[in-house]
Amino acid sequence: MINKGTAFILSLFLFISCPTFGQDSLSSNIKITTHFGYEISNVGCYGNIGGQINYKKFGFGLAYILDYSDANGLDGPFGVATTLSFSPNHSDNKVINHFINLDYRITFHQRFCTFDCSQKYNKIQELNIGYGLSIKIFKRLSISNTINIGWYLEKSLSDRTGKTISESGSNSLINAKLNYLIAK
Amino acid sequence: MKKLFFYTTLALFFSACNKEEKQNYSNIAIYGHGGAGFESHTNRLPANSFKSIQKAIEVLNADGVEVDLQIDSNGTTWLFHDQFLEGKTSGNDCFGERSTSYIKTCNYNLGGKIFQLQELMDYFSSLSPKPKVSLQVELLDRCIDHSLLIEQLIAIMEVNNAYDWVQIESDSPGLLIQLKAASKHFQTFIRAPDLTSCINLCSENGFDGIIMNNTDVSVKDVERVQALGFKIALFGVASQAEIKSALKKHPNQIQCDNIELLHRIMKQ
Repeated sequence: MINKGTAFILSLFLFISCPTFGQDSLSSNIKITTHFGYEISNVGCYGNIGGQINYKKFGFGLAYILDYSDANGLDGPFGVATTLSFSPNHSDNKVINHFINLDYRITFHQRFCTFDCSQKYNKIQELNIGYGLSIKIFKRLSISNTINIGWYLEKSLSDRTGKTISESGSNSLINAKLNYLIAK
Repeated sequence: MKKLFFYTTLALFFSACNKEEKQNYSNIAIYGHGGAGFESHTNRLPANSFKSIQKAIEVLNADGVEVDLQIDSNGTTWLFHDQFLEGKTSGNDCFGERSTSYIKTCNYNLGGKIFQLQELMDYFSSLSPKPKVSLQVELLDRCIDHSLLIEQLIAIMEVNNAYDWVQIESDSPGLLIQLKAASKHFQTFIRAPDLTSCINLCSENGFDGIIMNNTDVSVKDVERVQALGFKIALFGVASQAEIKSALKKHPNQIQCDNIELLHRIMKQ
């Protein structure tokens, strides 16, 4: 059985390699970037790796996220993050572009159970809206940072009663990414 | 093809790196510090609140919780850490000078009401098996009626027949001596800055165990305490390094601020 560490390295390979296949057919308005990032929210500290497709001023991103709190990441929670972004004054010629984004993520946390082990993971969902800046360093390399506020919902199965325990509240998320433009 | 081979080799290398000899930690009881740990950027549940205690026991599968005791001017006992209400709640002034009706109106700034000791007793009595409680009682607060606190504590322990699942920890030997005099069934844990004085206090007064900061004791210290027939609980355990260090010592109890990480490390 493949473990999460192996899956992480293979996903890295796939994220870097796959979007370059067939890039000649892409319109010049479409750009594809890959990124590594780190983010801190009220739910946890995560590393992420993913890609983003930009069409004119709009962007759609998908990332695999992995808990890196206390540097014990490869055994920790994992999940998926999606981002919709809009950059009102975007230009390829600008060094700094700003954008707003809507971010949804779901993370799965392993349950440690004694009595009711019918479910393997508890999940936490986050919905955030944010503002970000992207700074071009080289032709293909940029860094970006977003500051988000939003809401989280944690649903956990009680080990003692078998009932679902919900917890929700306001959330904040700070995100930093290193982006690499792989197709244009 | 070369790239695929490289990444696959790298992946196999990483997957093979994390093999360590599995330790048996089944004798260590895990207590959530203040419930599911004290408030932090990634923990928005107020310490000693119902939500935090519920998360520790029902979601994070802790064996028990370490909670702090306060008493109001009417003699009702509450789970609250600080001497003053301001800072963490909508209330103000010294806890011990406020009435029960006033405390009931106070909300935590992070959400939720202050939890009463009797409510905790009722909640844990509804669960099977009953989780354990380590009740920290300090007699440092000047605005608290200490004799009333001790009287109420003894009454609650008797009414709930809680001697086998609630232990009392304090840095006041006088308090623990009074509790032992009231009933020999009280499980008492002394907290002092150095281990030798703790051992002496246990031997002289018949206390059951010692509470120490994880950084202040070594593996040999823990073995020494256990060899004398006393239990030892370690606190100050939150980060990965602190958890690994505490587990190596094999204490009887760990009071932890990051129960999820502790489980993950114990499982490795």
